[in-house]
Amino acid sequence: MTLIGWAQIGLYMLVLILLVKPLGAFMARVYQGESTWLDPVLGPVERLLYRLSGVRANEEMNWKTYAIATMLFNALGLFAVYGLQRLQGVLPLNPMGLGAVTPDSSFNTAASFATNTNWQGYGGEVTMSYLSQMLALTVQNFVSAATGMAVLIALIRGLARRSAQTIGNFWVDLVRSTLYILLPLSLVLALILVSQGVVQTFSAYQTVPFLQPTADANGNAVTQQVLAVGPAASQIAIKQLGTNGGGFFNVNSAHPFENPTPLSNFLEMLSILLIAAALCYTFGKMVGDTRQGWAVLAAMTLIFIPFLLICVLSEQNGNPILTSLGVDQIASDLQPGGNMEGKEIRFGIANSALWASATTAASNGSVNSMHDSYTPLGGFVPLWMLHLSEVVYGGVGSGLYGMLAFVIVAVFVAGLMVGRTPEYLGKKIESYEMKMATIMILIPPALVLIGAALTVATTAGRGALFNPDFPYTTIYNPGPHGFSEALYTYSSEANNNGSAFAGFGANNPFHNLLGGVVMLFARYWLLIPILAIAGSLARKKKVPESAGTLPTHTPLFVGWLIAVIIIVGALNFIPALALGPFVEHLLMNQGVTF
Amino acid sequence: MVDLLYLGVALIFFAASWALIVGCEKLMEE
Repeated sequence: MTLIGWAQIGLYMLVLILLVKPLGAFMARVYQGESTWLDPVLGPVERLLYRLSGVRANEEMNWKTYAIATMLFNALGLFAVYGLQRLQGVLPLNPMGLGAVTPDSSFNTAASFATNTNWQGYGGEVTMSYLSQMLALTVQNFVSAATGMAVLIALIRGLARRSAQTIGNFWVDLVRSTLYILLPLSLVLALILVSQGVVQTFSAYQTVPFLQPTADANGNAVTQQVLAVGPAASQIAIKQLGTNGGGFFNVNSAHPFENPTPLSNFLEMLSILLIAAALCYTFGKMVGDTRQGWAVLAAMTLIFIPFLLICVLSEQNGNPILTSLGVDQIASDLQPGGNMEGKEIRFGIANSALWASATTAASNGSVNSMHDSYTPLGGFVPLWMLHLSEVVYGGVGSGLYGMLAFVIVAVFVAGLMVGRTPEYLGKKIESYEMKMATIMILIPPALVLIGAALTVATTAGRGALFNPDFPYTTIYNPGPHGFSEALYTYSSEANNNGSAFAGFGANNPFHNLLGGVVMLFARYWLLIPILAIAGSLARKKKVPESAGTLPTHTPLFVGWLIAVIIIVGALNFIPALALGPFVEHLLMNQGVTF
Repeated sequence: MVDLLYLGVALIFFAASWALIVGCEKLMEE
């Protein structure tokens, strides 16, 4: 790869790490109710919202009330998104006259956006009206992200408090996450994106003449095309910042109207990991020991970087079969080299592989290149990032609370090994916390494997490629790559990521229903146990540190934590990965393609 | 009619989630 490619990756990581402390500190002030520079403008808005909704901001909730409030709010959001899609044909802001979205697609999309997954079985510009994009999808982008952040903060309070019955107020945390963090950042990013050429309009799609006329398959002259436009910038900003990932256009951030320039690409990519990384510092600040936050962030980064390098190098090396045919795949001043299939020339290898790794590490799911076109090992990296349960940075809020579940397991196992009572941040880790953490760690892999198994083992799952009489096709590739596509689909949905190996046909009743159910379990059946852990920990007294206390901010613990995460992922997924990308890689080196 | 199916699936899920909350609470009290 060229020096400039490495420099771009280095610059990205440097800027990300530099922004962690300032943003993390700001978020800590927001969640602890301390004054911020936004108070003069947003304070009155916040108080008005509480007055209008009847929320008593100083009344806190126990974990059960917090969980019920979270679930009720999310349920209402899901039903609202479903209804808006089904009624969009008769609602305003639909200049292209798009009809109602089908029931199965509506269900899948509603579940997807409510759960912060943003899996999109549909093509945005041919399916969703402007009203649906804004009122249904963009609103969910904000509130689903805010939900994840609120739940994380509840957990942090559980760790920080002693002998407490309450863990905060969900409505206050939701409002503060949205008002003080997501909205301001999204506004700034959206304006910058507009300056770079991202479309933001209510006009109808534009019909424009070709510079050079062409002909269709029947030889008829084609002299113009329809360019889809819309209020995209406002959605793209929160799509990235809230680790949502659902694009306005079908090809997501590979589309020049979503991601026109190197600067828009850099900022959109930075936004993927920004809040999730900064929340690590927020965590440390709120528990009174920033070393804990840095330790968790170090674990995330030390997992991320080696796999990023594998992805970059695999894509840069390209397909050896093409090299043997005499194709020049070496990077130079005149070409990016490597495997450029499915990638934008304006982004090249480095920025495509970096985005693919970041988006799957972060439960974002947006793409600026097509993961299905990656080499086997290049595509293995995004898949593996999903298999690590989205705790390497992860989603906003959900990544860190997932990581803290692994921390609890790591502390517990370490305690067993040295014969001491496991404790974390002065709280004893007992059987209840372990049971809840175990539920959290086992649910996503179970959903992945069950979903993938149902896909490859049933006629409805496999589709017309294997049964020509079947009405729709799901798997388009035979062999291990087709298996990878199926595995990736359910890895993405079961970890609330939303990206896809785009060769998989998921927009049919079977996969819309199964995928929607998978996404619901993946989000809410982790969220409930983590709130239970928060409630349990909040009640406990602080255990004073002793000689037997395992320090959880040291390189040794960081290494141990990394080992636990990798081992759990490996045990769950090595067999499936062997059937997909690994065997495809070995066969590729033997000259076999799929 | 088909709408009722999907809405029903969602409702069943949230009902099951309520049961999970109750189950976690009972486990905590033990």
